[in-house]
Amino acid sequence: MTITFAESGMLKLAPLIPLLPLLGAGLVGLLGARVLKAASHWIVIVAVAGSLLLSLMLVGVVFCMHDLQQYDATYHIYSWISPAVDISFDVNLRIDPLTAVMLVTVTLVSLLVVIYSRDYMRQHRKPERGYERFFAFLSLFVFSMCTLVLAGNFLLLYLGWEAVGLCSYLLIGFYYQRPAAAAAAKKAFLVNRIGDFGFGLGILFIYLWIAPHAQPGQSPLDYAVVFEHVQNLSQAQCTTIALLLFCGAVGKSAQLPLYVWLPDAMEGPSPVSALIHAATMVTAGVYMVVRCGAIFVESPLAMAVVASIGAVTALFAATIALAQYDIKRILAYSTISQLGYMFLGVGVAAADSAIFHLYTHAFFKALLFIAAGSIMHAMGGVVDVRRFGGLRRVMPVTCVTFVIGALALAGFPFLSGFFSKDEIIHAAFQEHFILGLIGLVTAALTAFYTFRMVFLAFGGQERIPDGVHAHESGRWMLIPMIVLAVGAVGAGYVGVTPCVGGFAGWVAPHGWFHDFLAPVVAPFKHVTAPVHTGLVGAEGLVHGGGGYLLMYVSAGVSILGIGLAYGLYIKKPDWPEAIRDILPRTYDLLSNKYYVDEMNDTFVVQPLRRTSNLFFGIDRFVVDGVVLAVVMVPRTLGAVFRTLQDGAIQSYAVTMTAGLVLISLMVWLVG
Amino acid sequence: MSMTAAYVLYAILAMGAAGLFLLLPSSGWPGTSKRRAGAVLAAAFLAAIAVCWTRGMDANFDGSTFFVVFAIVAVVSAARVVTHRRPVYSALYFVLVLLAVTGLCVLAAAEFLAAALVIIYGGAILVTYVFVIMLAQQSGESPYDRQAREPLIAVVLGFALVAAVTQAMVKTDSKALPAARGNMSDAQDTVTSDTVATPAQTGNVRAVGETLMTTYVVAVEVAGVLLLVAMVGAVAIVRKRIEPEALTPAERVPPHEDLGRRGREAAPF
Amino acid sequence: MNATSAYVSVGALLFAIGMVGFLSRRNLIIMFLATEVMFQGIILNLVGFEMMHMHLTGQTFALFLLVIAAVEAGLALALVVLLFRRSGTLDAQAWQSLRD
Repeated sequence: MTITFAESGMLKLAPLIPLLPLLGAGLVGLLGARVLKAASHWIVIVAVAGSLLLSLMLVGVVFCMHDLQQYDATYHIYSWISPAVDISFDVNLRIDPLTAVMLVTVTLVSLLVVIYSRDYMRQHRKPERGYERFFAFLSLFVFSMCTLVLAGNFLLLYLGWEAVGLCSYLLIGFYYQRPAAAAAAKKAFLVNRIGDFGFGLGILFIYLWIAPHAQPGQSPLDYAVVFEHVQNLSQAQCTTIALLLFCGAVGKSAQLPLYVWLPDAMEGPSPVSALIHAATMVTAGVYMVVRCGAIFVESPLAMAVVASIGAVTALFAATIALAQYDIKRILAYSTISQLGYMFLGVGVAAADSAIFHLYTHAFFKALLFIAAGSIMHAMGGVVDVRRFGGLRRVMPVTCVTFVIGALALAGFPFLSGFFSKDEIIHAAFQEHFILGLIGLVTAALTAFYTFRMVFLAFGGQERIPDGVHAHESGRWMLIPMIVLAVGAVGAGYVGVTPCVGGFAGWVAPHGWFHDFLAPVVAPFKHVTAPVHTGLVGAEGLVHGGGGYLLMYVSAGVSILGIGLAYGLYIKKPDWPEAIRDILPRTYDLLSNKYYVDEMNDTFVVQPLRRTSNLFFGIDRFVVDGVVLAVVMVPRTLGAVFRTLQDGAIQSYAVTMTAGLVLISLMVWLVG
Repeated sequence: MSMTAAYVLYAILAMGAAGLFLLLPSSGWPGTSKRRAGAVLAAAFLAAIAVCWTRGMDANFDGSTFFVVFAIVAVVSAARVVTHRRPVYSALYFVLVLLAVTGLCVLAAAEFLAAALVIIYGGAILVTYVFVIMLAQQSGESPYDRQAREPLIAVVLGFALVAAVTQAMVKTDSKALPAARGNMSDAQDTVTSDTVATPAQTGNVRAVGETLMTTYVVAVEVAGVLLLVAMVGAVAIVRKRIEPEALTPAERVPPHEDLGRRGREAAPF
Repeated sequence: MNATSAYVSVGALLFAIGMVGFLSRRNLIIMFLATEVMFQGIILNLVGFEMMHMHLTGQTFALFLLVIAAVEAGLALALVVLLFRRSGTLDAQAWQSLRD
């Protein structure tokens, strides 16, 4: 249903959701350096808080729409450009449950991260250099992400997509004078570009193939129009489009093989890692695939590809994280792994579970990142987990919140991460045994490496790097951490229903959250049987569901991982070294991230460099050579003629006489 | 037949040109051997030309030997004017050219012209030249006197010019009118009337004077004005300015009476 | 060949020799002397053609030519003196500042 401005009522305020942060970015950008300086954060806090309130209001509106049996609306703002008579590209917003959920997630986490940044971007209470720039970019990012989520057609989606990529570049390279940061920003942007190339092609093909079916007056890129006419496309067309769109998701959401930018992106400040590379930007890929579910479900091949890549990435990244020592890198690889889970969920047609996991993951991952930032701040910028330890006495609040986040990540029962991850594993088992097994193994690895990190940082003897005064962080940093910790614990409960006889006797999966999202993920439900309705007494573990047994199994797996980490890093601290000595090559492989970066460099970057050098040479010598040759002609002629003009009278007299003689000769010989 | 005569002429002229080229001052080869070669060539050229003249001269031209002598002197002296290294000698050789040309004019029954040439050219212009040479002299032989610039081009051009001019005389049999002295054939120009006294009757000077005062009187006046202008111009060009500091107090003009000129113009002498 | 041709040939020779001198000598005064030589050649030419036509025009023209030659010599030498004062040399190649 398309709503225009006139009849929009409360929806009139919807465009303000992205526009408030944009306005904030503009104000801070223009006035920040001179006028606002240390107070720049207030504008951004107010703007993002306004967006949060409006997002909550939007949730209410969607509820009302539900009651009216209206499941989605397209809010047309204005017509941007009209290339032909019957076609126009508009700016319109899509209002539906998925949008509402994503918006709340994005704005809430953004608000908490902005509040956190107020203290993080300061050294001893003095703002860092570029303080205003940081907040301006952060606000710009919130605008971009909200645009991406609210977009009602593929064009606006692409705009938001690119804009978040841009903001990611700007914020990763925030400390631009550090060569590592500048290189990481460039790498992020370029790798994203590779994915965006496929994405753009996908949008092009959508236009090409939907346009013949669209009615006059409908833009072929509007979601409503596309999803309406998807049945008219052949399966090959749907597969092509789906795979191309998935390229973009692979780039943006750091899946294999385009994940290489995310670990390097940790060069940016911790708030950036928390917001962009954990909770919001990298989830844009998942959002997009779920949004385009109508296209993906038409192509079993595409779904299989999505699921496989998701699963493999999850396992791959988890193994790498086992051998890393940089606390932020561990968290980055864990993000990649969890994103793999989300794609696995989408690929096995459990889209609502994927979005549920996205939602809970936003809480605990952002929490982990900002807690890690708090540790870094206290440790004077040191990130190597081997260099500090036993911080539980020095930074108690940080320690508690970090552990809560770690427990949620590891899938400890009754925390949010457990519920969402478990649903995906269930759906995976229903689809294919191998996928489910990969999911379980990765869960175990996740628990292990997460608590390895926790025990190394907080357990054991107190070890503080030299010359650092370790202290607990201030209020501005602690309060967002506490809020997120509460979310990490309790956010999952919107996705479960209390019922008698469920898991542990009182809870069953599939709650209010899934019902809210049901209209959006409806296309997925046509593919496989409804997943995981918490059927009691479902079939065995291997074929379909597994009921509550699987829930107990995944709970056990996570506790097992935690226990193993405890054993290796608290009880017997010298065993990890021994294991490393037994498997040196494996350890090297993992520690060097499977040498993927080096392979990329050898097989992709250097050949490209050499080709471009070749072309540069051709340009300089061949093309410029031709131009120079053309230039040389008048020059040489001029040089030749210039010798006549030497300023000596006698030479001019010679020339005159020569002319005279020539004429007389002509008269004599010819005349 | 006339073609071979033309080629012979060209050969003679080329010989003369080569000789002139070698005689021009240059600091390449050792000067003396070059000059000797040039002199030899030039002598050969002159001999050939003299032969041409004597053979080709009409019988009714009196004084053809004098003509040849004067012509040779003129050409040799002209060559020396152009090729000598010292400017003073060039001026003196020019006097010789002058005298030779005067002789040729007398032979052509243009006595007034001859006299005027000697008086004006030799007496005034050459003297001026010599004065200026003395005035603008540098001690010893200067480098610019020792080296001619682009002698080859100049000689080639000269050769081409003379060839173009003189070949007509060789190629075509002369259809010129008989140039007997004292011949009173009708004038080709219609400017003068028949009532002008011919030189045979009245003497050359008188005839020239009458022509100047009657037919060309305007030209005479204009020539006079031209001379005046040139005189004034020459003086104006060469005047020197004296800085105010060099003036005596009596000569210094107060600034407001200066009419905007710095210093005072010095008298030319 | 008759007298006129002879005179014209001598005149041409003198003209050419003078031209060679003008084009190839570097001393300013010699250059002007060479132009005077060219003048002599012209005078001979005029006289030669006067002989052919038996008319006094040639002589009178030669007389006016004499006037012009005198005028030219005077002005040229004034300029040469000026140039010599300015640069201390009589080299015609010292004055090349109007080159490209």
